[in-house]
Amino acid sequence: MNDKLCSRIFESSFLGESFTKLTHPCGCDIYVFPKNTSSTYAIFGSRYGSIHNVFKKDGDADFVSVPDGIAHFLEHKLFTNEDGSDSFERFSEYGADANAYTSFNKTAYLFSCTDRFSSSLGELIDFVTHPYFTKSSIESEIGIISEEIKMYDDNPQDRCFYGMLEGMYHDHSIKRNICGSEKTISQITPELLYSCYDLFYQPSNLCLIVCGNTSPEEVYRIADKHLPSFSEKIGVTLANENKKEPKEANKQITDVKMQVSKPLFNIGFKDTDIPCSSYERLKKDAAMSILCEMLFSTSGELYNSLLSEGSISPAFSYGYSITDSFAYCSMAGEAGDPYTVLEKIEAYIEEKKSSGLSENDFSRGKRVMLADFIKNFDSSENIANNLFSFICDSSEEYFLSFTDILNGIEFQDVEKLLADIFKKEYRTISIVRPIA
Amino acid sequence: MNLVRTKVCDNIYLSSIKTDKFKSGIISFSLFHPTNAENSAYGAILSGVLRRGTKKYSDMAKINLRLDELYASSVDIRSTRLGKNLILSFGAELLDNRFSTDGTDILDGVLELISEMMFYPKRQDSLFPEPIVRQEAGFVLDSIKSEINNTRAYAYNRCVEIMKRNDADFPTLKRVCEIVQNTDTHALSAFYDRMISSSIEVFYIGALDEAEVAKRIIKYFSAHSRGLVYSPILPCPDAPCDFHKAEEAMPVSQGKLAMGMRTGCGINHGDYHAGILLNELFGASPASKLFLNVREKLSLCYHCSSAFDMVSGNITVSSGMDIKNRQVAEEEIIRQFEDIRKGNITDKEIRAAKRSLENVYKQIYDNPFDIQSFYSTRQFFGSSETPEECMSKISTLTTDDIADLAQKTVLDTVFFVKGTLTDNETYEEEEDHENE
Repeated sequence: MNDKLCSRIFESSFLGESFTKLTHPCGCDIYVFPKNTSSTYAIFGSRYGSIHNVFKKDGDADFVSVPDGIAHFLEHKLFTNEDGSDSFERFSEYGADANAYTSFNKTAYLFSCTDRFSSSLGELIDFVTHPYFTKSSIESEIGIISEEIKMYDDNPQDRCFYGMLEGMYHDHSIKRNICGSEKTISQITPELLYSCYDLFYQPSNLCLIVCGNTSPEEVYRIADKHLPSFSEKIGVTLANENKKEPKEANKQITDVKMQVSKPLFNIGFKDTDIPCSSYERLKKDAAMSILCEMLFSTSGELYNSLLSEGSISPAFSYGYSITDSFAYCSMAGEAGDPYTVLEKIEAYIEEKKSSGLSENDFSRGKRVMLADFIKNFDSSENIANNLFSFICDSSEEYFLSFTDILNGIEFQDVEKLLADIFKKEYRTISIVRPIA
Repeated sequence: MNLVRTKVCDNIYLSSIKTDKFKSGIISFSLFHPTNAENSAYGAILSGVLRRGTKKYSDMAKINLRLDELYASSVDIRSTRLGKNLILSFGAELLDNRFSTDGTDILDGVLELISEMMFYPKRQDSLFPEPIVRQEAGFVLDSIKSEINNTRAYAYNRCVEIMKRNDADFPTLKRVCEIVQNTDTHALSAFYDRMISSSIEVFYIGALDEAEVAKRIIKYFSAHSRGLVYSPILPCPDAPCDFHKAEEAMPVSQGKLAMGMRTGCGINHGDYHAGILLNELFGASPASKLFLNVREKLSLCYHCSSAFDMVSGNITVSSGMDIKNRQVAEEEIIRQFEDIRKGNITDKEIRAAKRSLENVYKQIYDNPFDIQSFYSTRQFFGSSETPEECMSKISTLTTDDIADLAQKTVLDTVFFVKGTLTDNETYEEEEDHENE
C-alpha cells in the first residue's frame, strides 16, 4: 500500500471491532472491516437513490428532472457488459453470490464469496465503472422491470407502505415507487442513463466496503488495479426536497381495496425537523429508536392491550427512519378495524404526553437498542450494509461509536421528542382492506 | 467448529458447538410428534398459547419484559413439519454474557424462561384458559387466510399441497382450518400433555462448552419425566401420480406460475446430492438456466427460480409473469428442463453450479442459524453428514449424473394464479377523507 495514502482507523474496544478507511486517488472511499469469517462480503455503492431525480450540475443554470425509477433502472443495466456478457454469470463462475439493490438514497452492488475474492472484487469494480447502454438492451430491460413493478403492485404490504408515504408527503419524491412506473421507465433512453451515470457514479460519489476475511492492504491492492487512476470531480447540487415539504401530512387517510384477508395498516408521522449535522441526526435517530421501543414494543402496555382485546394481530412493527432528506416514524400491522387502532394509539400517546414517560421503560428501551445493535456485528453482511447506511444517511465516523451515542441519550431527550413528533397534523394512516 | 452430541439426562440430548466467533448465540429445544392435520392445527395454536403467560410470568407482557431484561433475547415458539414429523421448538437467540454490563447470566435467564413456558404455562385445572385458546385459534386462522396476501407464496404452497394429494396425513390448509375452528381447551390441553412428554433435542451454539451448557439444562429441565426417545418417521420420496393442472383467478395484476416435479431422490433415499445440484443448475442461482433464459434472455419474468426439498425430493419452480406470457413461459421452463435431460449442460454451467453450492456450504459457518439448519435436519433423520462431506459428494457428480436424475424426474403439478386485473385497471381507492 502506498505510504502516502490517506487512511484512518476506527476502533471500538467495547465491541472489539475496527475498520480502516482509505481514499483512492480517484476520489473513491474504501472501507475495510476485517472479520474472522469464512466468507467475505463486498459492496460497491453509490450515494444515489430513487429520490435523487431533480438536480443541477455545476455551471448549469437550472435544475433538471429525470423520470422516476432511473436509479433502479441503472442498477439493473450495469450488469450488462459491452461484450454482451452478463456480470451475474461471471460472478457465478467465480462461485460468488452477487446481487444489487436500490433504496431511496443509495444503490448497492454486492457479492459474498468464500473463494476467488480477488477475481470477484475486480469484477464488481469493473462492471460498475464500465457502463454500456443501448436502445435495444433498454427495451429488453423494460420488460423485466415492468414485471417487477407489477409484482410490487400486487404486494399489499408494499402498497400499504407507499400509501403511507403518499399520505405523509406532498411533493417529496420519496412518495413515488423506487422502481418508477411502467410509464416513467418507458421514457428512459441511453442518453439519460449516461447523463445520470456520469454525475452519480463518479468515483467521489462511490464507496467500496469490504467485510470479512481480508485486509486493507489486499483490498486496496485489488481496487487500485481496477479503479480509474484519477477522476475530475463534477459538482452536483440536489434539490432540497425536505425544505419545500410542509410540516403537515399531505392527507390523513389513504384507503385502498386489494386481495387481502384482513385490513392492513401503516401509520406514519412525518418529521421535517432534520438536523444538518450528521451527529445530531444520529442522536435523534437513537433517541427516537428508544422512544419507539418505550411506546410500541411487545413488552409494552399499548401492544399488549391492543392484542389482548383482539384489536390487532400479533405481528406489529414500528420504527423511525432519518436521512438528510426525509424522516418519519411509522407503525404497521393488521387489524379488523384500523381506525379504532389508530384512535387507541393516539389516545395512548396523548396520555403519555400528559402523565409522562416511565424512567424504567427508558432504561429498558436503551438496553434493547444496545443489545440489538451489538448483535448486528455477528454478520459480515449486516456490518457492510449498516456501514453503507451510516455513510449515506449520516457519517461512517459514528458507526462504531453509535453505542456511545445511545448511552448518551437522556430521558429528557425522549420526553421532548414525544411532544414534538407525535402531532395529529403530521399523521397519516394508510389502509389496505379486502375487496369483498 | 466441532459438533458434539451428549446425553444430558433421561431423554434429553444436547448437540453443541463451542465458539467465540459470535457475539450472540442460539439455543433451541425441540419436541416431536407424528404429524397429521389435527396435530398441525393443535401445534400452531399451542405455539401461541405457550407465549401467553406462565406460573411465574403471568402474561405475555411479563414474558417479553423478562426477555428485554435479558439483553433483548428472543424466544420463538414454532410448530413446524419435517416430512411426517411435527416439531414444536423453543428457539432462543441471546447475547453472549461478556456484553452483560450488570452481571446478568443471560443464558441462565433464557433457560429459566423457556422451562417456564414449556412446563408451567398458564393453566387452570390442567386446562389452558378457553379465551386464550379461542383468541390464538383466531390468530392462526387469520394467518392461514392471509396466505392470499402473497400470491407468489400462495401459488407455491398450493402447488406443494396438490403434490401431496395422495397423502392422507398431509395437513392441507383447508383441513387445518376446519380443525382450528373447532379446537377447544380440552383437546389442546390433551395434545400439550402428549407433546410435553416427548424426548427433547437441544441445539446450542455459543461461547460455553457442552458440560457448562448441560449443567444449566439439568438445573431447569431434569425434574420433568420424559417418555421414550422419539423415533422419527423417515422420509420416503412421494410416489408418482397422474399429472395435475389447476388454475385459480385472483384480482391481481401479475400471474403466478408454480410447477412441481418429483425427482424420486431425497435424504435417506437415493442420491439427494444429485437433486441439490440439479436444482442449482436448473433454477436456484443467477447462473441457472431459468434465470439466464426465462428472465434475462426472454425478459418474461422478474423472478423465475426453483427450490429443492430434500425431504420430499420435489423441485418446485416459482415464477411471475404477465398473463399473456403464461404459455410461453411454461413452455420455456419445460424446455430448459428438457435440455438438462438431454445432457445439454456446458462445463461452465456445471462448474458455476458446483461453485455456487460450495460457496453456500462454506458460508454456513458464518451464521449460527445456518449451522443449526444444516445439522439439525440431517441429524434428525440419522445422518451425520458435515457441510464438507456434502460439498465433496457434490463435487464428484458429473453431467451424466444430473442428466440421469433429470430423466427420472417427472412433472407432477402445474398451478397458476391467473391475475384478473388488466393493464388499465388498478386497485380500487376509496374516497380520500381529508377531513376526519
